[in-house]
Amino acid sequence: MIQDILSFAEFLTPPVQLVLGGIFALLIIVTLIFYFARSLKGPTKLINELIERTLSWWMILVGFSVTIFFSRFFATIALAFLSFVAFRELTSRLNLRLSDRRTLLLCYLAIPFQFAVAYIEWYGMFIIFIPIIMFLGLSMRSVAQGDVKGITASLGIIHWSSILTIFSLSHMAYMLALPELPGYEAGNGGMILWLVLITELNDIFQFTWGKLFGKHKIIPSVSPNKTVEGFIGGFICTTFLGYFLSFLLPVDPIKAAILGGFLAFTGFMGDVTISAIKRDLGIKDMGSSIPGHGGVMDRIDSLAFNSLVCFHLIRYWSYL
Amino acid sequence: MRLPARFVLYRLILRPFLSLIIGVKFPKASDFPEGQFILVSNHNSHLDTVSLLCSLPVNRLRDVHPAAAADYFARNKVMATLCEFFLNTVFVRRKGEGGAVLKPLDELDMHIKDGKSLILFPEGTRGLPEQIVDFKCGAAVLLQRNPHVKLVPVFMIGMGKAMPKGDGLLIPTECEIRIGKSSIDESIRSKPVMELTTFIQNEVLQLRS
Repeated sequence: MIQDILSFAEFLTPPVQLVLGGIFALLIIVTLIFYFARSLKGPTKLINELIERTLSWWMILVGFSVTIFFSRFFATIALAFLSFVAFRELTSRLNLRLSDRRTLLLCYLAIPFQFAVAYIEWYGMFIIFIPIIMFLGLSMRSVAQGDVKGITASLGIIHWSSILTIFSLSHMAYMLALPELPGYEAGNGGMILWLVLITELNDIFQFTWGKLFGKHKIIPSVSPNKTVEGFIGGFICTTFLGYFLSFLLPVDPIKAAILGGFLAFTGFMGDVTISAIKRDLGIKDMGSSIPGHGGVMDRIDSLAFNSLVCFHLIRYWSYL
Repeated sequence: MRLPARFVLYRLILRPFLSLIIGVKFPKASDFPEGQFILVSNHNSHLDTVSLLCSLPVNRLRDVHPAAAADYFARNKVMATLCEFFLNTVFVRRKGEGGAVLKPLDELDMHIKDGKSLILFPEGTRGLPEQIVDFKCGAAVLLQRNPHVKLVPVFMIGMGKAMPKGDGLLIPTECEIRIGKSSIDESIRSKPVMELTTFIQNEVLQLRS
């Protein structure tokens, strides 16, 4: 236990170093280009916004690398904190009642438990705690409060929010806890890196393809910026990227490509699901904690869906 | 002794706790004006006063005083001492406790004449989250009697959900403190008290959207 806590850089295997180094190099180049463009053309609104976003990417990337790859113990705590902030942001926006406060307290107490269970690799408890035990517990606590006006919506909102933030992000913590596989060089950190990279780049691919060639809107009543062309372009790019980065995963390249295609789809689903909720509430962003990106939930919408799919497919292919 | 104690309490303990765990979004210290002011805010929670003190610039922790009802916060000697030491309160003896000779407003006016800045909650008591009841006219009277004192309108969101009235349980909920910029010139200041009160209330309400 003590050794676990103190073991540093345990996930920085050579394949992970290679890919992380590549991302840092790419971000340095992009940052330099934006600053160069600003000094050349002067500060326009667009370039300032791009620079603000890039600086936030720096914060995210540095935060991500420092917390995830050095020690599993700190990575688990960091992921638990991230899901705490995401859950808080979501439930603060979703118009819950004052009488739901004690049910929410139960969810906040569930966070450390769920991540502790992931840390000690207790799969049986990990997989039923939020979907089943919390389902029962939240229902009981809400009913015990005795305020029935609006209880149906509250029950749905609170349990759905805990699945979306606590349950899904704890899958990333469990990824780090999976047993070592013989011949899997990248190690469990490689899996998380692949997941996050594929998810974020899929967002960027879909955005770029949509901007360049987008004509036919997929679902205009939810998100007017999502186009068929953007989705297909992103889907193809992400599938290929998954294939080429398969050395980060404990599966063969074909399976990595299939998984990449899956994540392009579920990432899109996560994105439009959060968009639909924001549209329902009449807000543009879920929060304001990340400059240029909105709130935490705006940034991890697709990741919350993808970590579930990625974990269970890989587990099915390689660990059962 | 008091200032270092408050600095440790507000800046090193409460502010990190409120922003990381509870989710309070604090304003910039530069949003507060220099010099003497009367801060006027909506009131939904015991968190309100503490959060405001946490957002003050450090050098203002000495001369900014929340006004608190003596019948509630000075019920007994221990509580009164604690409030004065940590919260820097001035008490308003609105029911003439302890043989108060001055009227509550005259008492506050005296504090302002002493050079203190005040935090007032003109709704009089804590209400439901994000709902506001009509302001009492104290702030308007004080602003008229002291033309050099600035007005700082503040609207707080979410505090009443993190810790509502009548419930001691604190739940993480995103909250925000919004500070407005208000310049009231002579023409507004010299209006009748009721009109000035409505003006102040609108300055606070404006910050809601």
